Amino acid sequence: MELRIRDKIFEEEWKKTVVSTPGSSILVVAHLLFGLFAIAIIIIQSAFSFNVYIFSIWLIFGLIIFLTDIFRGSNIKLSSELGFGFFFILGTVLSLLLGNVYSMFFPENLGRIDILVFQISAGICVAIRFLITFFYEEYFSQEQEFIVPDSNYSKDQIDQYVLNLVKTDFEYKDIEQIGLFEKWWYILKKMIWPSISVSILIILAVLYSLLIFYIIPENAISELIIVPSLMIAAILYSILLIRLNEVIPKMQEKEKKILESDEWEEDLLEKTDEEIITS
Amino acid sequence: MEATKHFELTKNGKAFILFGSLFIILGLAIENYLLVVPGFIFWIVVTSTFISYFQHQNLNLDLKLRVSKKYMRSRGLLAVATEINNSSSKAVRFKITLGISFHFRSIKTPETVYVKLQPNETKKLVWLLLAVRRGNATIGPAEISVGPFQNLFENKRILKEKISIKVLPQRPRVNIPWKTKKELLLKMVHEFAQRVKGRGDEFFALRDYLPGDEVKHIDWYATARHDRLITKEFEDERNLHFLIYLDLGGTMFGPKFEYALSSAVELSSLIRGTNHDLGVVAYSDIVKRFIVPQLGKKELSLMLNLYDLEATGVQSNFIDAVKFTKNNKLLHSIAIIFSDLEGDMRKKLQGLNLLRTMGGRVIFVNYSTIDFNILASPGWLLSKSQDMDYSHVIERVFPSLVKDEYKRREKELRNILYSVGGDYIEINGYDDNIILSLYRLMRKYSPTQRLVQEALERWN
Repeated sequence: MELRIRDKIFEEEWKKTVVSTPGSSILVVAHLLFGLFAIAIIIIQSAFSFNVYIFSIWLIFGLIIFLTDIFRGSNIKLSSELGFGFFFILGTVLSLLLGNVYSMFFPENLGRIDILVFQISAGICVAIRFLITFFYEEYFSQEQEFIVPDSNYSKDQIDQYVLNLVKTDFEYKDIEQIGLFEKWWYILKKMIWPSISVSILIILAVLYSLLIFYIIPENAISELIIVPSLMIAAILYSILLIRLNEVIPKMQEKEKKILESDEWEEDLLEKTDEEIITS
Repeated sequence: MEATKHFELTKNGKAFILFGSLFIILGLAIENYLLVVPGFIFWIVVTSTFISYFQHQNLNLDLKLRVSKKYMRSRGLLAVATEINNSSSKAVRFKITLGISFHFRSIKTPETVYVKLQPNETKKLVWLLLAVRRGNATIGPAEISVGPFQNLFENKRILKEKISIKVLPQRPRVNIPWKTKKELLLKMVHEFAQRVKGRGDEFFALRDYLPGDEVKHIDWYATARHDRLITKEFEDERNLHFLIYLDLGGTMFGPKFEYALSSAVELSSLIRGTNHDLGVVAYSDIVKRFIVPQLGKKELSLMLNLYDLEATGVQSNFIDAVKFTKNNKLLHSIAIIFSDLEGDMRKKLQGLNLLRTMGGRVIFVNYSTIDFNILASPGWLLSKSQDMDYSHVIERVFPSLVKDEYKRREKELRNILYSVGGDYIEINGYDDNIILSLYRLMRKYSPTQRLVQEALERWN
């Protein structure tokens, strides 16, 4: 299609540029790979345990997840990760029903170290995948659009304009942005305290379970107490987080009210002053 | 205006708290660490957002937004300065987003930048913007996002202030010399202006002196000859009353309308500096606006008022516009109609007939769709910066006229115009200019030549 003459002139003078953060493609690949790793670990374990059902279920799910990831391309979004989570929980529930004695989904196998390693490594892969999604949406997803002068005319135009701006309030300088490493460091630094707090929670739960284990050395009773106590802790923690969200706006309202009341007093003072002056 | 604080646990945030808990509870229930580990990571992420909220709760960031000018031309540059002051005792890293309307594009720097501020430091960020579209543009609001994982928990300072900027169309690329313009006006005066008596400098006639006439105008020679008091009359300054009808209807859209509008402005800017009168009637189904230039300071406001006009996308009614001028007794010596041959032709023809009864000359300027058709590329129409209403308009308009029908309409219009004593100008795309077309028209404007032309047309 032919362009408008003015559009043609515009495209000759200015070049549209889209810059994505360096390393975004690596992150996209890593995101895809860690999802596949998690499922591959489960598939390998099911192959070791000679469980055909679990093997085929995770193979199908892995294929679906792989295809959706490929078609989505670099468009990684938090909301679309919910699909991954759904498949993961569905697969877990199905393989729980179909699991045999050697499978990593069989509840009695928790004591075995190799099973624990498989479970935790798969879990870490899933966690890393989600973390990558968070990072990506925070720093990598935003394609930064701007235009760059392409012809001599437009370059001159900018130079002249910038020269005219010197010694005004609008003096132009390139904006110094934070580097990528600093961004990563910032986000990781922000996660130190939370991870300490959560690990304290876990340690407390473990200590509590050990305590009960030594007091009542029977497995059955200890399991009846340890697991429910952790679950209750989990529920309480999530309730706490959501409650916090409700409390914060109320705190803000209180602040506002206090501020408004101050203004009121000032108004009153002014009014009384005026009255005194007029009288 | 002060920056307001904004906190919100987003839907994603709530979903991930629930997901984390579900993973942990389910994982513990079936004794599977496959689910427990991601669950803990969710918790860590969500907790970190809350902790950073508490850390930044007392963070004070003062934000100011300023622009270098309020009026500008398209393809001109604008500098926007934001001044941020960190009055707290901690260094902060944050993301700042400058909201700009589709009239602008940012140069060299994106609209979102990540910046670090030391305690008690003031930083000035300057964006250079290029205006790409005409219209009422806005700069603002400016948003600062503090803390990690903004998509789970929004922790923002928002400056809701919006600065409005008027972007006028770009400077015309063709500069017509003033001499040509002057010549055009002189020719128009010569052809169209009526001789009216008044208080000018040029002599008009002699008549008997009446009480109340000025004594200095008495012609003493004539008085001596006729033996009674005789006074001189003067011709009024020969003013032209221009009346521009600007079509805002559905058939005038996109680049075509923009070009018609800028032509109207060009013409009115030509008339503005002279002693001729001007009125602009902008109409669609009703008369949308009637603009008369003011003298003095407000003279410029005519141009700005004209640029406020937008195409309406409704079927236009030319008769209504003519009736409006007739009812308000807006007499004209030249009526110039900026319109096209699309849509309901009958109304246009009836309107022209009505114009004839008012006297004066008529010039119909046709912005030919066939030429502007190519220029209105779908890419232009479907780009996000465009008002999407246009795309509905184009669906209705584009398949409407075939070339034969177009020629038939043109002939019909020409016939009526010649019977009225009017003229027809066609603007074929951006290469044509209204002033040059008028100039060309006036040059060949002599009654004999027109008769010859008409005869030749009939011959063909």
